[in-house]
Order: sequence, then structure tokens, then C-alpha cells
Amino acid sequence: MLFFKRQWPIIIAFVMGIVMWARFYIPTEQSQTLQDEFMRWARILFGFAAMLGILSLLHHHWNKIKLKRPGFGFSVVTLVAFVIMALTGLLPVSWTWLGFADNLRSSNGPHMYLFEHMFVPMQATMFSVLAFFIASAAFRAFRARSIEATALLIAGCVIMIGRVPVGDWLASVTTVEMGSWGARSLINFPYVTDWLLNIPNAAAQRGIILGVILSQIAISVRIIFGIERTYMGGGD
Amino acid sequence: MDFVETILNLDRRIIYTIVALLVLIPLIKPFSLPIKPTPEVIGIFREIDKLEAGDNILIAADFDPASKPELMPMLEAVLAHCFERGIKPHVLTLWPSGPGLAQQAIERQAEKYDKKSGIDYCFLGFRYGNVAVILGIVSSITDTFTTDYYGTPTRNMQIYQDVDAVRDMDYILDIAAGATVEGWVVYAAEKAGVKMGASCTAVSATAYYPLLQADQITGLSGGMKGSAEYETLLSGKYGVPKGDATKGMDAQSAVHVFIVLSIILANVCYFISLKREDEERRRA
Repeated sequence: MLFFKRQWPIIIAFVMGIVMWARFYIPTEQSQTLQDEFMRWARILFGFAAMLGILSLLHHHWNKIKLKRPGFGFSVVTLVAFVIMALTGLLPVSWTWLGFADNLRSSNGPHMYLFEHMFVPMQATMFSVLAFFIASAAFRAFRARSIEATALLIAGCVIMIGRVPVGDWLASVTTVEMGSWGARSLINFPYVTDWLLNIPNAAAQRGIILGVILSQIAISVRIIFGIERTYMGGGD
Repeated sequence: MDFVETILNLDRRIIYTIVALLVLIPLIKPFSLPIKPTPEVIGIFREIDKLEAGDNILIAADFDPASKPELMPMLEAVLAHCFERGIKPHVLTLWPSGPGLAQQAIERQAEKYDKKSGIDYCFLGFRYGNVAVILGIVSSITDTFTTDYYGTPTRNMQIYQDVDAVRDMDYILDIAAGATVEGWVVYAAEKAGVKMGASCTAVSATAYYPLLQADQITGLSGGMKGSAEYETLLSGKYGVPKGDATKGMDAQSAVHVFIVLSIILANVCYFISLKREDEERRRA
């Protein structure tokens, strides 16, 4: 039993890792068919992962209600909402008696009605609340305490103005004729924003991308050779 | 309490009220600031505009309601652009909460331009698997999405008689709230040799500049501003009415100006208070 718990996942990871890596260098039809088949398996596995997630969610909230832990009322709401959304999306029954369309996938169906009138406003509200928090946090915490903080503060302010139409408007109203230099804008936030995004930002992002990809390669090699075992739920 | 102390100890409810007013007032009474399209957004518009009637474009609507104000107008504008030019969009999503929004956008635009599902466009819906789905449609769209969102088998659809994989597409556009752009670039656009553009939330736009500079994407639309620029280009060339992104730009401008001014004011007050503390310490 211990073999299936410890060695078997490592063997699967090793074989699949080596096969998929080698396949990349074998551009034949059979190799492509093999990849297509594995990708089909992967999509099925993703489906099971989603099922596992749903079961875990239901189990967690059911236990919270059963033991009447603090805030269990929210769990009741979660479960009720889950059941209603699932039933309206899955049950092949007619909802015309409630004034909805017969087709479950129709934009006039009960599932889409709940999605549009409950899910969309609630999620949009959660995200839009960020604007208020950011405004308050920027006012209270964004201080030029060091050179790095000052650089970040200036760059942030320039980009905030340069990325909205008021930046373009400022640039156009402050444009003056400067002889042989032609028309030049005295307050040109969009120009500075463009420079910040294309030069220092792109350079830093390129470094981050390279670092992330090298780390991904390193972690993949560690998983294939069984050095990294945290994906099995234990320490390495 | 003097002005400096009042500012430094300002009640957050006052800031919230100002932000709420600055969002509401421009939405009720817009002051219509001009929107100047940037080369990044023109890069997407130009490539789609170059396509001919009957060409195919793959649109990944990888976002959820949290990013709706930023990305939904882009999806609507691109669909309007496609239908206006007779280009066939194939819309899918890798996000579980994405199909509802994509359905709204595609049905609204299809109705406006009198386009038929399975002939002029196809809404493939959602499949679990991220990169596995991308790799799947690189091999075969009809094998990966055996039915469209409405349950109609894709293999029999008129739109898929000459198209079966990403290599048959003429352009790819990922409208993304998360990190799906890299997946589409690496596993779809590069592998199938198809040009690609990216539209993303304003906060994640900075991450894609290296891809833009390396010509791995032809254009980049960041946040609501990018969507508003696309609407401006579409309105300028085809007279399509501007959408929600343009309406939201005045509110965004007002809030950004407020945040910048409040940061400057708070910092000035902070340094004055530091100076005062320093003087008091010296006096003591």
C-alpha cells in the first residue's frame, strides 16, 4: 500500500514527464496523436479536480453548519445559493411557468437570470470596493519615506494621469510652438508614461519572466526526478 | 487641530464620499474628454481591420464579472468590428464564470448585425483545462469542443467545414483578466503561426510589454482605457456608437486626478508635520 502512496506517483511523474519532454523533439503524426490523447486525459482530470473542489466546498460548509461554528449562517447562504444555481443550470425541467425561456442555456433562462442579476452585481461590487480602499490607502500610506518609495510614488502618479484622457487633454492644452523644434507639449504625461512602460517596466518585466521560466524549468526537473514531492501532500 | 493635522487624520468616510461623487457625477453628466488611441491598441484594431470578409478570428473571453467594466466593452467592440467586416468570430472561455458574460456580448452583437450561430459565428463556451484546452484546439477545435455552448454538435456546423484548428484562424485575441495571455502566446499563436493580440486589465498590462516589443503580440489593450480607445477607433472608421468604456473614462479620469492630488497633499502635510516634530525635539 505504501508503494502506491509513495513510489507509484513518482514513477508516473517520471515516465509522463520524460515522455512528454521527448515527444516535443519528435515531430511525427504518432507523437502528435499521443499528445492529443494525453491532453484529452488532462481535460478529464481537470473535470475531476473541479468535482473534488465542489465536494470539498460542500463538506466544509456542511460541517460548519452541523457544528454551528461562528458565522455558520454564511455557510447556509453558500449552500442554498449553490443548490439553486446548480438546479437552475442542470435540471431539464420547464421554467416557463415562472416566465423564463425553456432552454436552460438561453439568456432568458433562470440560470442566466440569476447570473446576471445576482452573481454579476455581487462580484462587480466586491471588486469596485477596491477603488475606495485604494484611494484611502494611497492617501494614508503612500509616503515618500525613501528614495525607492519616492521613485514609486512619482512613477505611479505619472502613470495614473498618463493613462486616462485627462493626461491627453493636459498635453494638448499645454502645447506651444517652439520654433525649429515644432509644437511641443509642456506637460506631457502620456509621453512619460509611454517611456516608463516601454523602457524601465519592460526591462524589469523581462527579468521577471526569465526568472519565472527558469524556476519553472527547475521545478519541473525536480518533479520529474522525484526530488520535489510536495505535490503529494508531504514535505520534501 | 490645524489644517496639517486635519489632513493627516482625515476620516476615511470623507475620502469614500469624494470618490463616490467623482464616479457618479461624470457618469450622470459626462464632460466628454477626448480619447486618443495609443499605438498598442491601434496594433489590434489594424490587424483585425486587415482581415477580409469570411476570415476567422479566435476570441478567448477569459474574464469574469469582477473585470466586466474593463473588458466587456472590448469584447463587445471587437465583436461589432468582426460583424461589421463580415469576419467570423469563434468565442470561447477558459474561465468558469466567463460564459455568462460572453453569451450576453455575443448574443447582443449577433442580434444587432443579424448574424447566425454556426454560420457567421460560434460560441464554444467553456471547457476545463487551461493549457490542455489550448493545446486541444491547436490540434482540433471540433474534437475539443464537440458541441457549442448551446449543445449543437460543432462538427456539422457550416462554420467548421473549412476550419478545424487554431492554424486555420487568421487572428487570435485573448481578452484576459488573469495570466492566460502567456498560455495563448506560447501554445497557440507561436505553435500555429497565427498573429495574436491581447486585451487585459489595467493592472496586468505592464506584464505584457516584453511580448509586445518582441512582436509576440501585435497589440495590447490595457483596462477600460484600452477598450475606450478601441471604441473610438471603431466609431471613427465605421460609425459604430461608442460603448460603456468611453462613458466610464470621465469617471476614471476624475478619480485618478483626485488620488494623485490627495497623495501630493498628504505628502506635503506629512513633511510639514515631520519638520514640526523636528523643531519641537530641538526646542526640548
